[in-house]
Parts: sequence; structure tokens; C-alpha cells
Amino acid sequence: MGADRLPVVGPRAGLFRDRRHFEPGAGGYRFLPFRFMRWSPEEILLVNDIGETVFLPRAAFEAFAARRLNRRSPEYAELAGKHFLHDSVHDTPIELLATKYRTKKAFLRGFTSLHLFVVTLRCDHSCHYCQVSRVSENRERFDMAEATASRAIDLMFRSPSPHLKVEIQGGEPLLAFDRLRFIVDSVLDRNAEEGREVEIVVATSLSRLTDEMVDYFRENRVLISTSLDGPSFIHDANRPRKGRDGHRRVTENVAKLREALGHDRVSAVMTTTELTLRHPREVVDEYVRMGFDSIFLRPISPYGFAVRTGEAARYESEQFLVFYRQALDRVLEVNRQGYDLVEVYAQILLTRMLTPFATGYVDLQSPAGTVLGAVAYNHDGDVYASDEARMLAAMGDTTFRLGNIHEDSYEALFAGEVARALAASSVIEALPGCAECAFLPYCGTDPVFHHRTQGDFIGHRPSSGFCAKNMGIIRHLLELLRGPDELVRDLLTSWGVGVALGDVPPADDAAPLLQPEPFASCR
Amino acid sequence: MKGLVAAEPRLPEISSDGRSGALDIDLSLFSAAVVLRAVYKLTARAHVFTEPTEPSGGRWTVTFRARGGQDIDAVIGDFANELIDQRLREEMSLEMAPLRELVVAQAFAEGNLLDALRDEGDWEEDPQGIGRAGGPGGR
Repeated sequence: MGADRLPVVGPRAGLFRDRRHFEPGAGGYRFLPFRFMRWSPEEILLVNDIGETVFLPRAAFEAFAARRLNRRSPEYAELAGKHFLHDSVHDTPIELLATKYRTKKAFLRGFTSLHLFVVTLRCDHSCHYCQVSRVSENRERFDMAEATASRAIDLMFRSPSPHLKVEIQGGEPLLAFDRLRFIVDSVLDRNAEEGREVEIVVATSLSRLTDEMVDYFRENRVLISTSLDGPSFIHDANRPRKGRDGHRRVTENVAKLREALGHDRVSAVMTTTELTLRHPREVVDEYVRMGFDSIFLRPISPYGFAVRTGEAARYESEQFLVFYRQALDRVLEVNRQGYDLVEVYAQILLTRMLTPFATGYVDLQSPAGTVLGAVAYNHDGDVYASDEARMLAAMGDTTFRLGNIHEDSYEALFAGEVARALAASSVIEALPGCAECAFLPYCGTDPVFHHRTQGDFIGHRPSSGFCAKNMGIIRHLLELLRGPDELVRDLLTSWGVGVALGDVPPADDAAPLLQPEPFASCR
Repeated sequence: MKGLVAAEPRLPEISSDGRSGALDIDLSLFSAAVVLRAVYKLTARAHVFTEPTEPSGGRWTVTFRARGGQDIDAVIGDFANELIDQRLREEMSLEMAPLRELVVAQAFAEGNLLDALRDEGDWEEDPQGIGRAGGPGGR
């Protein structure tokens, strides 16, 4: 396919091609790659390979599919402008699609960027949904040895990624603060030579926070991620500890850390239990009360204590979706009242829906982010394809164990049989049910989840909880983006493209919000 | 209307217990791959049994038995509509598949697969002839 050279005429001969060169070809149009689904009895949703969307009335879709669509119709213009059809002699649409496609898959370039260090399994909580199968506080043999931590750091720096995220977890990592400090000091020392962009996060309940720890986190610019399941009646019921004061400790210590580290250095996540399902508004309001600017509405994962206590089976995907829609409605409502609060999962999906950019969220990638995006170094030196794979191992299933730090080379761990099997089974462009799904550009897969719930890396899409959740949320977001509420449309757009609400252009503004650099300069 | 003849509707047979139904499918209208992709989408709502209707294999009988509280009429109706969608996808993919492969290949290629000379060509040799015609600035 190449550009024809038409005769050059006119006073600027030799400088510009004749206008006939730029007119639609006489031979009709060709389809550019897209997928479709029946959105409603009256409308068809089309999504191309880079995530652009067009909604067509049924009659227009039938005309488009039969190549009878009037080239002067607004539908034709929209389809051409968004690269659903190709009617010229140029390669330009192909080049633009390729550029955006490469941008969407940019997460592959750096290989493993998220490295989880499980410094201890000791914990002072007994969370009903604990996915870690934690042990009691005094079992120090469940702490990571210094030699194991050193070796894990060496492996981490073998990754080619210019950006490395270290996430220190447990159990309760503050119970092994000396080891935590060793890891942070070692990473920063090593990075003085390596020169990567390193981000260090500690995932902690904050129940054991001391002033010494606060000072250390401030000096070393550590980010803190804590758990806040909602107001105390939910949080303390979900996450019991001796003294039943978990919520109080979180509240006090979040305030202390914000003062020392900065407001935006402390974030929180929640986990949805059967109790939570009944209180979406209260959960959101608690995040507002505590001054958070984001909330991540997460379902339970089917691992660890969550399975043993039956929590994982206690609600179906549809119940979670009802909760999610109600909680998101409340998030939108508080924004309307002037409080800036972002729902993180919606933001991740909206970024994929509204921009060509990758998000780095390992559960929404194709191929899946297991190993390619993240690995977990367990306290005992075993290396797992993901945090969930580690949790599965604690239940006796070591399917996703990559090897051991002290026994296996980097190549054996990161490019071994398990890693390759995961990559091969998680390219959704080739999976049954996913390959023709219109939501494919926004979605991913989780082979660990499907193995756990369905006994198969690939999974059975029609009955997959992962699929049901994502399809439900994506559909809801598309409905909101097309809805009558301009503020909601603008708010969701601001989340997705990363601009302030006031900077979202009016809907009739023809300029695209974001365009990647032209093809040549991307190289 | 000219060219159109009224016909009796041929609806699927539903079992007396209201939980099963079958459709007879002409494989000259819908390929085996299309039928199986459509069947796959319904497998959470029904158990599905497929078998050749006749020894020559030109027709398949697809039998659905509803799972749980599923409405068998709705299941079979959705399957019939899904057949049409899957056939359309199959037809479109014949055209789109090479372009899709080209886009992916171009995205990950080190060079320009569409026009290697445009990026790799020697500007002094001017393989595109950009500077060849006369005009201002030597262009």
C-alpha cells in the first residue's frame, strides 16, 4: 500500500500535491479493525483496536456493514475521523493506528516494574478476608531474612524498566520494621548507581506506627498505602484486632503521617465484604470525612482467609456491581457538592477508554501483568507471578511459583516455564469470548483468578466473575459518558485524561484532548 | 410485494418441561466456527449439545437445556441473534484481519513496514523525490 504520485499542477508546482490526491477514493471504503456489540435494540457499539468508540443506529450500522453508508452522512464522518473506515490512498490511518497501538502496549517495554516484598507474615489483625494467611505476631521465623531481601533487590535491578515500584507488604510490615528499613536503605543506595525512577510504597494497617517510623518515612520519601474499609462499624467488623481499635488507629495515624509526609503521600484502599455491600454511601462518606482524594472500590479476591471464612463466595458479581454503581453515584454526588474525590478503578478504565495511554494496572493488561508487570518475593525467598499467586500458594496451590531467589537465576524465574505459560494464556486478542468482545481494548485477564475460580488459566468467559465485573463497570461508565448530566460527563473525562475539571473542553470542541506524537518522532 | 413470498415461521421445538429446545442450522448459511462461537456465549445459561443432523454433515442440530432459572425461549432467541452477529464478524474479519496484523506489526517493528525508504532512506539521495521539482527554496 503506498501513496500514488498524481500530477502536480498550479503556481506552486513541485511543492504540493494536487487536491485530487487527498480526496476519498472512488472505490468506496474499507473497514479498519474494530469490534462491535449490540448495545440496545436500537444501537450498535463499535470500538476499534485503540479504544475509540462510535455508537450507530441499527440502520446506519447495517448500511456501514454493507458498504452502503452515505459518505456525506455525519456517521460516515465520525467513522472516518475515528479510524473505523479507510477511503483514501494514504497509509496515514494505518500509521496513526499503529502509533496509538504501540502507545497502548507501552507497558511491555520495561518488563517487570512492580516488585512486592513480603517482609513478614506476622500481623496483629484478623481480617475476615485476609488473602495472606497471616500468622500471629510472635512467629519471627515468618520474617524475610536479610540475605533474601538482598538477593530480591539484586533481581529487581535486573529488570530493564526505567521505573521501579517497590511495594513492601505483609502481614503487617511495620512488625518487621528493621527488615523494611534494610530494604529501603539498600534500594536507595543501589539506585544511586542505577539511576532509575524508584517509588517505594509501604502497605500497612498503621496499627504499629511509631514516631521513629514516621521520621524514617519522611526522610526517605516513602509513600504509605493503608486500608480503610469505611466507618468504624464496618472497618472494625471487617478487620478485627485486639482492642477493636483498628479504625481509631488508622484515623489518628493517617493524620500524623499527612502532617509529616504531606497530604498526598498517604492513600487508602478498601475491600468490599457482604457487610460493605449494604453501606455504599457510608463508605464513600468516610473517605470524604477523612480527607482522602481517591477511593478504590475493590471486590474481595478469592484467596486465603477470604475463602476459608466464606466471604469470597458470599456475593456474586452482580451484587458487587449494584454496590459499585451506588458507591460511584455517591462519589459523583460529593464531587458535585465541591469535594474532589476520584474513584480509582473508574479512572483506570476511563484512561484506557479516552486515551491511547497504558495504565500499568497489572490486572487490566494483555498479555496479563503477571511477571510481565509485577512479581512478589515472599518472606521465604519463593518468587511468585503476582501477589495473588503468593496467596494461592499459602492455600497449598503453588502453580504460579516461579522459583526461589536462592536457587534460581533471573532468567529461570522471569522467563521460565510458568512465566511463558502465563504470557501465552493471557493475550486476550486470542482468547475465546475476549477476541471478539467490543470492550477488549479496555480490558485484560487474570490467569491466577481464573485458575482459582474455574480451574483453567484462560477461564470460561460467560461465567467468569472477572469478566462480569469489568463488563458491568465499563458499560456503566459508557452510559454515564453518554448521559444527560454534563457535569458527570466532564468529571469522568477529567479523570480519564488527567486534566482538571475546568480544563475539559466543551463537547462540541473538535480538537482532540490527547494525541500521541506523530509517528516518526515516537521512535 | 414482488420477489417476496410469505412463509410459515419455523420456530424451535421446546420440550414439554419448558427447559429444552433445539435449532436446526444449515452450515451453508453459518460456518461451524460461527456456530461454535455463538454457542460459547450461551454456555453459562444453558448446557449445549451439538450433533450433525444428517450424515453428510451439512446441517447441525443444536440442543439447549436451560441452566438454573434461565428462560429457554430467551436463550434460543439470543443464540439465533448471536449467529447473525458472529457471521457478520466472520465476514468483516476476512477484510480486517490482514490490516489488524499490519497495524500490530507496524506498532512493534523497528523499521517502517509501510514505506521503509521514508524513514531509512538517505536524504541526500532523496528517494521520495521531495526536492526534485523546481520552485522556491530549491524544492
